Amino acid sequence: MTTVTKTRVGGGDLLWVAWRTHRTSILVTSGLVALAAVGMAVVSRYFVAWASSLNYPTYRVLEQFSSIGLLFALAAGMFWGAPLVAREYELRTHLLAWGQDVSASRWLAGQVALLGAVTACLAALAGVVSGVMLERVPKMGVDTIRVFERNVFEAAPQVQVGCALFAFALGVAVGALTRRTLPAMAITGIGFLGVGEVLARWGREHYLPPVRSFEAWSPVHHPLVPFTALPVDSGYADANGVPMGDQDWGCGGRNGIEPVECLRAHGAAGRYADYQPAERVELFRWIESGIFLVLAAGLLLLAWYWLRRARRV
Amino acid sequence: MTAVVETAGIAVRGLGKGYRSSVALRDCTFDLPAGRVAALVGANGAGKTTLLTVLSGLLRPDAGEFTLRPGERVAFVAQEKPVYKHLTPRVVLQLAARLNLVWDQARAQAWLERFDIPLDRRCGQLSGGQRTQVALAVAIGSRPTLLLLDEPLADLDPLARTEVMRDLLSEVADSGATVVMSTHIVTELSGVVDHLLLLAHGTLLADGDLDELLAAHVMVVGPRAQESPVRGEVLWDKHLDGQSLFLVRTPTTPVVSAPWVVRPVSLEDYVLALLSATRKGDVA
Repeated sequence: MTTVTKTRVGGGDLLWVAWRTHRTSILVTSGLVALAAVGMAVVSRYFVAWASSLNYPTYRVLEQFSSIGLLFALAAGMFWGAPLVAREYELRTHLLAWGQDVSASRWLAGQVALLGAVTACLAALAGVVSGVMLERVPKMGVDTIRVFERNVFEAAPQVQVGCALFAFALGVAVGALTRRTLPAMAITGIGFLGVGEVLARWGREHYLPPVRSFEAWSPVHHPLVPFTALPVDSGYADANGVPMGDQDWGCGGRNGIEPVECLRAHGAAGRYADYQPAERVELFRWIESGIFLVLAAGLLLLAWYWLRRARRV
Repeated sequence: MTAVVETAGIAVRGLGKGYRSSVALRDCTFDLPAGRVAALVGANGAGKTTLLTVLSGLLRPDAGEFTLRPGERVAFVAQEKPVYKHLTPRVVLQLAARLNLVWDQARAQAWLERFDIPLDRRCGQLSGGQRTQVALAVAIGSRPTLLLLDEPLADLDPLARTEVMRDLLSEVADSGATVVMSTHIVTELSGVVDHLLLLAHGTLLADGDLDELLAAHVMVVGPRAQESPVRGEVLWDKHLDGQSLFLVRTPTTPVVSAPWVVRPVSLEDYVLALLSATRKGDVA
């Protein structure tokens, strides 16, 4: 007898199936990311030498380079996540894959485990390399960088991994729901960029209660927010340092500068500003990564549940 | 009723499945004894694919239930004969080996070699008929005890059809497996199947042992007439210029006087008669 019998299709079998179906794509993508990483490292090395001779804030260019990790996350969502289930439906191969002795949800678990792990590793690599690039920036004559700015904040492995896994999971879930590859890719791309934008613009500043600084009226203005910090809010405060809200006392004033006497008459004792100090950036990166990972887990659960429903084939 | 007690292969009770805009399957109830080779026959859109997909476990029914023999190993070859186009037949078999609890590599490979399917050419470069053979090889390799085939012969040339039918049955049915095979080509089923499941508009019109079903009906042919000279339920009638045909359900072979003639009913007669009767209108 040539028949081989086993009691259970194991995780190793599922991973092997995932590997054998996506082998080419995994190898090519990993090669490209590795190449890009080496390229970035080399370029940044010579770029620093060249840029410092120019006395020009070319770190902006380096920042853009560091967004390569986000590009990878976007690609992971659109080219690995979105087609993972959608293409199976489109080519009807899900009838082959799920028609053997493995349920659709276990098949999905194997595929997600392999591609998710590869995605996480490549994203971590991209994060490390972009972090290294940005660390060269201070040596270029710029003493400080605004670490909360886009492309700088994200240039860290934990954020990249969170981002990429979120994009991948979003693709998987959207693909499972739409069952169409192209629409799933489009929705994934837009959704990923949208969520990233929302977090960067409106979410990030609220991860922790901000630090408040207050300055009583004085003839000389001192900056209330350090250059490298993330400004959250600012305005007038009363004698106890409590913000007075956005009130229009009709003090007039030109160019946004309102007469101090008028403001004082209304009880304003000085200016305050809320900000997130630069020292918090590592913590904030972990928080953002956590948010992405929670979202990713939710999306994968949704896809898993949707496949188990089996309401349509 | 059969006198011989047969093991129940599939017991289907009140199975129903609807999609957003249509009903694919309505209150289907039947028993298929184990080891039978059943033809699932019906017009396009009759619900054949839905029934097979539900039985394969890939689709959840809205209503009703079905039970299989304990430990039944089900293999399903879908209508599209899906295989991964970027992989070769050899790799497709490797995938199937990993994904199945029981796998007979030699048997699956022998099937492909018998039909001269190149093992190392990408499936995307194979013809539709060759891809069908790959999908069939996957099913055969998993040594099923219940084999569900959706239009298995559609992409094959006439010669291959005969060979595939013959070999498939000797591979699978001889090992005691139950086979359910959907088709709308009735002519190729004669002598192959021993059970009939006839679907129209999602409703089961007839089911049972093929010989018994056919034996319980006669075709009465004679001069043009309004009514059949034979007592019994007329399932279908057809009136040509000088001739009338009636398909009558009757327990015994009736005796008619000339010019009337009573003919035995062929599978094709029976299926076409029942299906064309439903097309005219009333399926309740």
